Amino acid sequence: MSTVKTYRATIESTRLASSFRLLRGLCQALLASWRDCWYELFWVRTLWTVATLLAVTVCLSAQLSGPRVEKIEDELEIPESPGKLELLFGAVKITQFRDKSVTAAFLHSFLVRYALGPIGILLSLAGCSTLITGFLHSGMACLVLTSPANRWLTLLSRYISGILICALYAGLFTVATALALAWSLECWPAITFLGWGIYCCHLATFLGISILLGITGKHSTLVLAGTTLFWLICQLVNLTFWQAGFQNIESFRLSGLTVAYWLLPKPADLTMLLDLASGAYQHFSLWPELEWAWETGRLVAWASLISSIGVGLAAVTLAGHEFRSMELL
Amino acid sequence: MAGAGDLVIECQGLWKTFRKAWWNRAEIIALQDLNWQVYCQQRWLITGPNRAGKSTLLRILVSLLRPTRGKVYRFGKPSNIIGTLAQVGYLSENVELPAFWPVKSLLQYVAHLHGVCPAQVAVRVSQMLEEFALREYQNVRIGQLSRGLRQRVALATAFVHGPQLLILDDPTNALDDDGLKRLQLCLRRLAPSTTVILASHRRDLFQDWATHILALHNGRVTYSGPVSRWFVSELSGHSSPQELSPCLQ
Repeated sequence: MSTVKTYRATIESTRLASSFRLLRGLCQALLASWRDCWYELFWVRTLWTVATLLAVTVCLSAQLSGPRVEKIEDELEIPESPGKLELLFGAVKITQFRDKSVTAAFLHSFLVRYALGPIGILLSLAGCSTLITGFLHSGMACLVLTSPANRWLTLLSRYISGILICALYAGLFTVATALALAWSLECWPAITFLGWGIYCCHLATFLGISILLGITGKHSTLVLAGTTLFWLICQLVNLTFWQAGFQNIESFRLSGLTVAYWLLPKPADLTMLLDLASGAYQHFSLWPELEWAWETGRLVAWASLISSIGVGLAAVTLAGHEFRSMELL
Repeated sequence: MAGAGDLVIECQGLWKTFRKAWWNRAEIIALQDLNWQVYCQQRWLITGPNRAGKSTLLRILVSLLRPTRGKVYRFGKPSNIIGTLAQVGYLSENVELPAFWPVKSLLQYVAHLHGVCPAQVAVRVSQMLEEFALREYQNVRIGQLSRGLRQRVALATAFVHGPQLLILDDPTNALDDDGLKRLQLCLRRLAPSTTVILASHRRDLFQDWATHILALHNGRVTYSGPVSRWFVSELSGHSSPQELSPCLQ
């Protein structure tokens, strides 16, 4: 009995040690590749910096003059007369019925909706299209592949570094715009980082595809075109699926579309979740099909998130397998 | 660590072919049935005209390419075991280094990649900066350096971890006279246990330094053996390698 116990303990400790080694290897690879990815993603960083500066300028220049809101029973707000929201030092004037706190929330959710939504994702993916191809063509690949560094961990660390760099800038965007609004309107827009988390998941999903295309195609244009096309196809399948469900529930249950919906990432679902998480749904209209799916409980947030990220991770695993046996001509 | 007489590299029936294009099944034969053994402390010079297969052979030795047929062993282990690459320093034929990296940081990174202990990294990097006269460029980004200086940096990356096996593909490429002298000095200063495989068109520069020669032509070995016998074969005008090279049998 004691021999069996000792044997089991030895196996456990070996497993623990190998997991620890793997984790340590990943951390080392991450530290090593971080710098290279930082240089490689120069355009993503520039894009985010410019977008953040522009958004902060818009927020700092926001001036709200006078909507008088009457409060009834501490909750119901009835606007008495319209006010005026001035942006970019008076260049843009909008008639506004909201008070300061609601205006701050509206402006913030508007900026977050576009920066962390489909436009931000596609621009980030465009910037990240050189993450692997730049590595393969810069000579860094030759240095790494002729060293004993684990190839799979090298690729995984580049994937994680890419996400972390974009996430860092997206986080800065979220916080900086909120601070700027708090400064100009004297009202904190009460941000949550849920929207930022959904941006990270959305990016992780399609960056995996981008990396797989980078390893197999080895050309930035191919990566960019392929990833964008794949995103569009997924969006189309996602919307068609909910539209089919919205119109005819019977055909919605068992069809090829259902299989495609569950096998592919779900950008439309993720965009809807971003709208819900950032509070944009209070100010902007949602897709009626998606709203129906959400309200009837057919759209399950965690299932959409996990199945989408699963595709991204599967793509990275496949890319890692390809990278291990890749020849560098 | 490999000692004198130990096998460092062994190629058995090595073939490498490339497809002309992914849609074209026609193949280009880069290496044909190459059998070759390199022992510890030997200094090999690989010569041959363009398209002889020199760079392909060296790329297979460092696992950048996979053989189509045959086997390659590094330090007695199959070449797909990448752990043995820790003891290998490689200089590629077309030196392309990441343009954004400062010289010193890149050398530190390469030393780290090859598992040099952190305490030794600074010492080794400093030594390389000195030996290749790169001290004044240590904080300059590689993209801002001239081609000759980039070649020096590339050489430094091959030497920085003190490898047991050095594989240099056309190291004289773009080097000026000072660079050439420094390279030759570095090669002579290497630890005696270091094995070197060097491919170059400039036979005159290295034939005094080399102990063995591997001559390739159209992917076939035309001579493989000690330098002294190579001269005999050249003087006597033998073209058949089998008459002179026991390694080919």
